[in-house]
Amino acid sequence: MDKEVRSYEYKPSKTWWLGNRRYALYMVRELSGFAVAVYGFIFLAQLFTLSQGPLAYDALLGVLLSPAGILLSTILLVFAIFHSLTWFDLTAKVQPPSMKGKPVPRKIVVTGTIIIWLFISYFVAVFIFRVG
Amino acid sequence: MAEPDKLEAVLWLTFTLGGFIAALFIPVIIVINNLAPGIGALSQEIVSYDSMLARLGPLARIFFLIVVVASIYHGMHRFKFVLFDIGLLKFKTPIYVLTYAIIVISAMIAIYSLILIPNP
Amino acid sequence: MASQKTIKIRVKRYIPEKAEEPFYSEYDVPYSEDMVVLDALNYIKDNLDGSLSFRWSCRMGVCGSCSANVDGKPKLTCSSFLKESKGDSILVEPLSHFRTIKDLVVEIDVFVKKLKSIKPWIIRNEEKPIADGEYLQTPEQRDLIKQTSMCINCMLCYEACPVFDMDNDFIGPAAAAISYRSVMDSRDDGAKERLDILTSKHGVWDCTYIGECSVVCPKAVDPALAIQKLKAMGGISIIKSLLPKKK
Ligand code: SF4
Ligand code: FES
Repeated sequence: MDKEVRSYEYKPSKTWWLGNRRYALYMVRELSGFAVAVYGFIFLAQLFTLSQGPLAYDALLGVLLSPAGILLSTILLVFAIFHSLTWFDLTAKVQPPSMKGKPVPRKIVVTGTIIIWLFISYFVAVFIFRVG
Repeated sequence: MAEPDKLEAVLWLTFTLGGFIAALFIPVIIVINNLAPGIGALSQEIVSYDSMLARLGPLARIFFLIVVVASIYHGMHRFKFVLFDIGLLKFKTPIYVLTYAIIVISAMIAIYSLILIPNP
Repeated sequence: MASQKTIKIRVKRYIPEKAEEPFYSEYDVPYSEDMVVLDALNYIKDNLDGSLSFRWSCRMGVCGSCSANVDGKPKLTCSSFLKESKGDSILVEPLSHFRTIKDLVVEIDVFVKKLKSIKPWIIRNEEKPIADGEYLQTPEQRDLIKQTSMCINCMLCYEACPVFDMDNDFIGPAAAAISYRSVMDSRDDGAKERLDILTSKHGVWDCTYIGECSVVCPKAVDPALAIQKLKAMGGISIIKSLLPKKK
């Protein structure tokens, strides 16, 4: 093709993610992934202060259990659950589970995943955090 | 010309694994470690210094190390793309370096802390 | 007969000999329930303004050449009815993720190159002599590639893809979906070669599963999911190649 041909080029948009509801929801989904890292940093800080002795740990714990800390945990929890649900959903779509060569119906996959997830959560609560 | 990008493949698979670990464990950890004692649904005793130490046997330490690093890895990997999405693709290399530097440093702090935490 | 109802069509024009920047032209076009945007464009060209340029061929959603933004959404103009638009005017603009050559006509080399790069034909280790007949498939094998086979190369998914907009080197939805089809094709022996291309630097890794490509596709292809599957397949095959070989 003639390289001299004149043509008009649009600049890539920097605000495309505000362009429609689905793009915006995509951004929320990605930020839910980031929220998981934010909690990772908080938990890391807890581990670090644990290594520095009770004074350091209690100071951080005070902040985390303050109203502001609780608000932050609540927001992070909502994002984290959103992350879990979207992540399980995508995994099931990419590698659809099958039994005896037949795809497992979607309803069963969804309920099955959630039951296993709750069971694992219970396991973590009881055997790692020794709740109850 | 079409050489498989082995580095991207490894980064992506780690990201996937991290996403799965975070999806399974982060919600329950937030609930028990922060929210429930915060709102009084569980006694704050559960997160006291002594009970934290008491549960940190070798296996629990490895478990927490994996969860922390997986979550930070997963989130930062995605955050990198969010930065590109809002128009920062021209800083691709510095953003890559920064993202993975944060991950590596976090992992080192986690290992350091978990080694240093006294045995119950 | 009652006076003919009309509708205003606003078209984004670009005429390099006339102006550096794109501008808009407005036309009043007779309206009827069964008209599509492409009919309106053809009416304009035949009766109002012969200088208006746009591509089309089949008029029935098969050739994939009539893509444009209709009221801001990537559409096949031959499959968008005038009556679908609310309001009394319809805005028609060229695809903005490609360079405009004139009016609604865009430069498609960037896409055609991608299409070539993924070798959209059947690769065989050994060709069968023609006398031996076709390569047969079972219905189950055919089902695996049915959806992605529907692609008509209309490039609407590229218009919906912000990642392609940011980085024109990204392989993008359709090329990846078509390649996925080849990888899954029971008659094809080129999976390894194809995955190598798809997992290379400008392959599938930059996709962040925004998913709009699958929403706008007029043929119900799901390029977004195909790309995630390719990441998994490609990633696993690369890891396998890195591990020491077992005998
Ligand atoms: S995948 Fe769909 S939107 Fe993309 S080129 Fe093919 S038919 Fe068009
Ligand atoms: S004219 Fe062929 S798809 Fe619209």
